[in-house]
Amino acid sequence: MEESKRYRVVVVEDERLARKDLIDILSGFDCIEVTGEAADVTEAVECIRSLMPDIVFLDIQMPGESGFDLLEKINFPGHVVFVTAFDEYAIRAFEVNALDYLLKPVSRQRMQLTIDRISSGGEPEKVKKELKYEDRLFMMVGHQMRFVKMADIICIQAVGDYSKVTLKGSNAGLVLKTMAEWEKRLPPGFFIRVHKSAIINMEFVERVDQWMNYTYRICLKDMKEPMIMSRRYARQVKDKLG
Amino acid sequence: MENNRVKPGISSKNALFWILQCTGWCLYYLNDLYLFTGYANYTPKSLVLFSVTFPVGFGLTVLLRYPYRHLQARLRIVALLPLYILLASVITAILWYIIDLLFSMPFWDQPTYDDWIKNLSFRTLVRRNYLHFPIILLWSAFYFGIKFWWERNEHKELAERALVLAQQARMRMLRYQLNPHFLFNSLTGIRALVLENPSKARDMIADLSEFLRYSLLPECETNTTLTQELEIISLYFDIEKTRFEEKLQVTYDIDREAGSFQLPALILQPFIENAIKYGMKTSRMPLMVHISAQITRNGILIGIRNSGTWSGDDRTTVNETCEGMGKGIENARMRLENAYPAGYSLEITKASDHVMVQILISNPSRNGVSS
Repeated sequence: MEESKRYRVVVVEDERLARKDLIDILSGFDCIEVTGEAADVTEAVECIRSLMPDIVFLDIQMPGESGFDLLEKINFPGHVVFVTAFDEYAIRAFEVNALDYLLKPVSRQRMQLTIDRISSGGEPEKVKKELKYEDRLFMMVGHQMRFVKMADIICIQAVGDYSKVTLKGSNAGLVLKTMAEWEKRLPPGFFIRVHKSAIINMEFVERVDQWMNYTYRICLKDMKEPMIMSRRYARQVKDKLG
Repeated sequence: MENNRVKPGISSKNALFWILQCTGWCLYYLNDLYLFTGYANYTPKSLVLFSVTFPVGFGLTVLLRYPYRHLQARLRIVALLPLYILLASVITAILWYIIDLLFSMPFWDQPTYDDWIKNLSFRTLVRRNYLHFPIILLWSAFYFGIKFWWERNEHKELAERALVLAQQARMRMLRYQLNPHFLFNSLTGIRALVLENPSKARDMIADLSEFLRYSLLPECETNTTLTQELEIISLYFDIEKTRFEEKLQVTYDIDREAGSFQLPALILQPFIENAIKYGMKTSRMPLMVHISAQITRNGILIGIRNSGTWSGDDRTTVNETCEGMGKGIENARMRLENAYPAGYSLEITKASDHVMVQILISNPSRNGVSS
């Protein structure tokens, strides 16, 4: 019989009672060992570095530095489960980005589901719905994990298995997703694929010029280099842009 | 409620017509009768003949209503209205004369009849009629004048009522909306206390229930006294203090006489919540919140002060910081505007180490007579 693994857990939560509540719930699970707790980001960094837990439960509404600041400070390889009392924006963002989250007060059943999912190695189920233009994507921008507004995405370009997401303000993020996956999920009213390895946000189009060999050159705001649109996609784009 | 009346106003308008119609014609008749009986010779017969014209006029004007109503409904060019009235008055006057004749002619004696035939001409006809036409014209003027005035009032009333309903709906929307963060965080706190400190948990449940019950009150019509409002606020703080423990400290400075002043229910709540929410983010611990209420020369001055700064740096959270804060304050401002159109002022002072919200209400109403 396979010995069940014990997951080592750290809880990061600023309110003592809320922290206690979460630990109480976790203590009810045999496969969970609460190895540490932290009341703010500084303590958490210390805790995680020294204890190297498998799972971190992270409150996102902490005063001072938030849970996301913590993720920037340490590159945590384990599972992160976000915890919030209520935040409609965050909840949708979590679902859309397939991030693990729990709502306070955490119920035993939901904790069970989360633990089961972690132990079976699965990803939280992505919301199958198409992304809306108002949604935000959770991605690595520079060195930080950030929630990025769709409206700030200028274009997405394929870089091997990854895609480089160029944002307003000359930032760029890297996401493990193919062009086809992007095409499926991005709202079609705003994003359009112009090339085998490029998708653009139409809100940023400044000019479209004819280029050689039936291709087109698209100039985007904030982008130094224009994008080349192949003939194949030109027809689709022409219809959309009118 | 006025929903029971199917057609509000029409029955009264009709009643008004009949009252005025009867009164007007009676007075006219009585006046003329008085003059007529002043003449030396009158007989019962001449009296009757004299009187015939009045019921005829009365009846004709009653009938005149119908073409006039039709006219009002169908007329496109308003400038033509006087023309139509003139035309109708002429026709009615002529009819009046004709009917008068029909009634009275059979009773004429021969000389009168001969005389009438002899002098029959357009001019004499007009002379005999010289009162009929102006009377009908005057009647028409009164008719339309009063009608328009009445309908204008009706419209004004409807418009006012619509405005009030719209405003009530708006107020309902602006009512204090329970903060879900507060609710769920409180429940989390209670659950943790259940094992650690059961009696405190029970207190917290009682406090939370009371606060929730108060916040579910029907909003816009509800006014409370400052004392009651402060009781609810201190309940809220008790709950938050259990959650934050030593990190939150609250002090009060309330004028004794200020307690009886009336306020819209929970109008201070958005500021209190902001004070805690943004104070917790930006202030050194413990967060100090100070509530004050003073009676000044200009009215009552309520202050909510918290240590910390105006807004935290929230670049990594998903929702916009200022969005939520702005909306709550905007709602409160609208409620103040509605309750005290005469005068109020809302001032937010952002200093380097504290934020102060001051609400001045000039000449608020007191609850009952001075205590």
